[in-house]
Amino acid sequence: MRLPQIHPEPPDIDGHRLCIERLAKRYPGAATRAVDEVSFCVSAGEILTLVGPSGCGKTTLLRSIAGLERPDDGYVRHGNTLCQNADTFLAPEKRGIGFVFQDYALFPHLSVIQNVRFGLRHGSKKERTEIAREAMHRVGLHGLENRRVQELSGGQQQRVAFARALAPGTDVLLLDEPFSNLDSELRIGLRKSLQELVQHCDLGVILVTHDQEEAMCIADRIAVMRDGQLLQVGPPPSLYSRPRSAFVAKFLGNSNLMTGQAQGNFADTPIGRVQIDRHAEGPVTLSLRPEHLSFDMQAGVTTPATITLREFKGHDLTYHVRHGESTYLIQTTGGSLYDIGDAVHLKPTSAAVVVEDDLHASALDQTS
Amino acid sequence: MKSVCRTLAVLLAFGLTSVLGNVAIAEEITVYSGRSKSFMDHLFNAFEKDTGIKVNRVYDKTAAVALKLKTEGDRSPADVVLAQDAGALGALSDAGLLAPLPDALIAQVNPDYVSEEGDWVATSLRGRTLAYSSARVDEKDLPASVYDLTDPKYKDRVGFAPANASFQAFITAMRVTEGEAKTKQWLLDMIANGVKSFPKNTAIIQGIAAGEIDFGLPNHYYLIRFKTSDSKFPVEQTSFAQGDIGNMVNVAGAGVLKSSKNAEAAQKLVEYLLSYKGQSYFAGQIFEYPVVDGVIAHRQHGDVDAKLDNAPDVDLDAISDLPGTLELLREVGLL
Amino acid sequence: MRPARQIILAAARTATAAERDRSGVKPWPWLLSLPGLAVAVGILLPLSYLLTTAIQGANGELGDILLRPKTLQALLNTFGLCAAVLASTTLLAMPAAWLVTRSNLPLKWAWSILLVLPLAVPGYLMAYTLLSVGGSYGVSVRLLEIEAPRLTGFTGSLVSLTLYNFPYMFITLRSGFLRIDPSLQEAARCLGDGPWRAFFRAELPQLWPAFLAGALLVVLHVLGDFGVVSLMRFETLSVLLYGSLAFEQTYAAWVAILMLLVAGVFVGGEVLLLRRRRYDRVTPGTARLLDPAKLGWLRWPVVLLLIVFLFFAVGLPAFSSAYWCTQPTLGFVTRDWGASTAASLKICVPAAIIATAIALTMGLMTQRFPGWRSRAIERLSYAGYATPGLALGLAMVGVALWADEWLVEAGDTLIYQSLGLVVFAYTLHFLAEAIGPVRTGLLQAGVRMEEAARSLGRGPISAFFAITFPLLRNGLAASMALVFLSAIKELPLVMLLRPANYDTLAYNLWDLSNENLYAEAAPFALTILGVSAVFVGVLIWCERQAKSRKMQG
Repeated sequence: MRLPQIHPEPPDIDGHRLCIERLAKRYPGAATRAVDEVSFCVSAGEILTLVGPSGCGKTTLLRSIAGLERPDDGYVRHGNTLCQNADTFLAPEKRGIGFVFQDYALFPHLSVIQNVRFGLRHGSKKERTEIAREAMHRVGLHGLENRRVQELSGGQQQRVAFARALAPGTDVLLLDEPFSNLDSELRIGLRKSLQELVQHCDLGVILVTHDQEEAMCIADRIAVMRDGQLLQVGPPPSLYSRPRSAFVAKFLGNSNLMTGQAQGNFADTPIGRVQIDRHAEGPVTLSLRPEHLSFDMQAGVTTPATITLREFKGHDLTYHVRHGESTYLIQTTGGSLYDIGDAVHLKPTSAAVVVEDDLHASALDQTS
Repeated sequence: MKSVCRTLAVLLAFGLTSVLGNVAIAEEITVYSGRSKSFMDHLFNAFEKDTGIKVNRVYDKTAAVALKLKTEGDRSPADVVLAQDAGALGALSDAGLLAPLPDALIAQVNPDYVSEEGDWVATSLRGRTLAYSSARVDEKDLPASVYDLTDPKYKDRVGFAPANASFQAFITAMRVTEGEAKTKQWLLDMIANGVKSFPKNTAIIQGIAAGEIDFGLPNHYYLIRFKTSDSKFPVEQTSFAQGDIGNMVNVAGAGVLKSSKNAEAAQKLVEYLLSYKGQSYFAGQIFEYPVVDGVIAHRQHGDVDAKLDNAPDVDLDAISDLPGTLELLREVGLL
Repeated sequence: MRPARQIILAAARTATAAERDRSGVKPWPWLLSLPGLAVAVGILLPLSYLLTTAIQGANGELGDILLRPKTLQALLNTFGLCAAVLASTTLLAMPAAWLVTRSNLPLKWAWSILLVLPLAVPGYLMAYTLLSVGGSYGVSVRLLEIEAPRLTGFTGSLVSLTLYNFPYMFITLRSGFLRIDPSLQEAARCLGDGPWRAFFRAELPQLWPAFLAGALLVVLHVLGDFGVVSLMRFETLSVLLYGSLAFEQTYAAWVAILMLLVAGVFVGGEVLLLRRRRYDRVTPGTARLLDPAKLGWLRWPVVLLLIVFLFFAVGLPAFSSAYWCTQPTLGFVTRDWGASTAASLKICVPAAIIATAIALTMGLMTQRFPGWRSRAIERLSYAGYATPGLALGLAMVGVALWADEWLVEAGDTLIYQSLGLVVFAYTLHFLAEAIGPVRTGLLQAGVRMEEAARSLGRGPISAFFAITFPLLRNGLAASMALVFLSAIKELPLVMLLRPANYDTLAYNLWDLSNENLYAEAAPFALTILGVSAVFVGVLIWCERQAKSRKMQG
């Protein structure tokens, strides 16, 4: 007898290609869960990127959805197929979910077309070849049918892996760090193709990456994971501008984190009184993006800070400014150049975001 | 890691010293023995101990030894040759490879068992015999002649050893006394009757004990060996009717090579084989018949004279055509 | 266990990119290549001598010689036995390799070691065991009063050779399984294949190269085997060769050439089947450990089967040798155990050391002076390995006698029947086994550190001995152990080449069991078993060291 189910009713998945609910997985012998009650849904035509530091459980989560790992608990539904709940565990081959591996896992003993045809089981060989060829066209591969996969470049192999996953007609694609083995130029091209593909085929895609920049530029929504838990899900701009916690703020882009005493819409911080994005009282943790901080030579409220480092990046400039025990990052575009050692006064240009303090206190006073 | 290195170093040192240690030379002779190591090693050791002459031993089949000596010619390192077949010794004598033996030595042996040229001498006698399973063979089913073994009654039940020198000598004798055609026909009939080929005489006896075959054609002394160490051993042996070629008595003999650079020591070894000690060893330990008077055969033999009387009359000098026998055996597919 | 022997042949194919980059701008190292050249001459000279004498001896009767029914029968027997042993070792080794790599079998690491142990049991010892245990008067009747079947002929040869050759196939298939990218299986699952279908469609084809390497080792060993087939009385080419050696040497030479041709067919077949099929991982992805397959209730029957297998392959020979040790001997058969052991060591120790030293020079050549010359010399060392022992021995006898004619006065011998010749023949025959571990060690050590030492003012030789040599210790020890392990068991070469008084352990064991003197043979059997087991242990130890070092690095 199993214990009473926590979720006897499947969640409503109208309009969603794939839904997972409170999915949990603990590896034997591990103290904590690798995936800790994660829930989200993916819609048709949507790219959801899973980001987080390495070891945060994002790959395990992806493999659990595909059925390559066996979660301890939770619920997975793909379209009208119940893949997993408390009593059911559907084998990966029965889920109809496409998976693209980090190392592509192309079958080295098969030619390109044989690889793409691998997952097709119905119809004559000619029909299957035709379908496979179509899948290859869709990912922009032409005329490589009879090549051996070893002879292909990394980008071509990547496309074969996509075509192979798409050929059986799946509408959900799971991608495990699909661009990590490619150089940056190729990466940009493939990202664009992926976005077009998702739109054109109305796919639901979950993409795992550890590269936050990649996550932000490709995703419709980003899901940030840490220690097996989902911290925040949302469109990239809202996650960037309104991070829920200090960790999310730091993981997606740079951030100056500081503690302060809030009083209404303002807070007193080491760099003076700053505006905050919501009403709060008492001790708070604040995140201020480097582009929302500036400085000048005019005397301010607080003691002056010292410029310790200047990074010139072409269209913008980043200064490292030391104030008290902490170093702050300030990003500016143009303006006059300051030199290392100049004494300056810090000035926030935008409201700081009140975030949950989920980082160690010691880490708070230092910026990367 | 270190300990393994040390072990390897010790092994290396051991290997090198043992290689270099061989340099010291005492008086030594080299024997090519067509008689097996199991039989001869003991006697060679005793000889070394008694005379201080070192014996280098190369064992092989008698026919192989003969061939090897012919190939090597005057380059051969061998001083003494031992064979378990008069034919092989005769062939070496014909090829002019053997040196005449001193008269004093020859005089010790019954003249029937010395070659005409006096260049080889018999050291012991052995009879052909019929071995059978005491568990599965009724005594009334025993054949009277070796020719009876082609009877369907014995189908798939008989074994012999065509590569063995004694068997080859027996075939040579059959060719000489019964004629080429009859011998060939017998071999073909035996093959048609499902005879099994064994590499050696002992394997025949073991094959009978293990139940693979019920009858075999070995030399007489092998079974006695098994019997002395295990009285329950389930094999017996018997003779065919008086004068049957299957009862043929052959010799094992020795000669000194012309190319020997140490003929004196070589002759000493032959002399040792004919001495009371050597003959007692052949008779008492290997259970062969002695060639020198005054040596008592093993009690297991029963009446040796009667056995020798049972044997067909074959001139040992006449059975030197080993190549002919080999050719015949090859022709019928036994070699 | 290092994919020990399988590297031997695989190594020839795996010239790494790093090697190719460093192509030969340096002057050819004549001094370094001398040992390799000596090996090349050592293998080519006897074989060509064998061929010329055989052609001269044939005198136009070649058709008659080769078309004898006996020759054809032996040829058929040889191919049949090779095929049967190949099939049976595969059927045993494939599930075994799968179990120790992919299942949740308890104590997998221990099984991986135990299943290599049959290497310590030479085939003729296995044959001797089977012959002495079975039959109406065998050990099983005497001890248990149960009559076990007495296997002889084809069946007996098949069983002995299967148990003996199993480890070669097992080791190669096991490392084959370990090398397969586990995500291939997962990819197949995501594309709709069930677990079995995924195994057969996506994984099994990846094992092909490993299987071919193992298969070549097995068929070469079966072809070269003499001890088993002679004891079991199954007339293969080697039995025919040895049998005719005493009576008809030209014929023996032709049988030897036939054996060489068969070996050539096997090697060529492997190369052909492997062509265009290098299934290296396509991209250097991170290999993740696959979830082991759950055996469930099957795990205990499986363990039982493995124990039964090991009992037959290792336990039975050991027990039966120990039993015969307690049985009375015939008394007069005195074999000097000490002298025999010394003879084995005097041949095997120098052979192991020399082979390893030559392998080192050859490894250095292919690593640092790549090019056709290095490759050719290395390939020739594999030819020495593929040449059946009896054929190699016969060719060596011929060339030694011929050389003596030139070198010394009539009536004297210098090379023929000398210890040096035996050691040289062993070295040639087993050199290929020494190459694998040394080569792996060299590749792991690389040349960077040595170059650093050079930049710090050391000369080339001093830099090598100060930096690379210490890193090679494991590889050198493994090479020596491999050669020694094979040499101590070697029978055909010693039968044809041994000098007077050099009856090795293997020769005595074979000779005595051929005369069915089992009690007399037992001490030699136990010695070979013990020494081999120790060296298998050394090999496993070297492997574990290498692994732990790799993990630290």
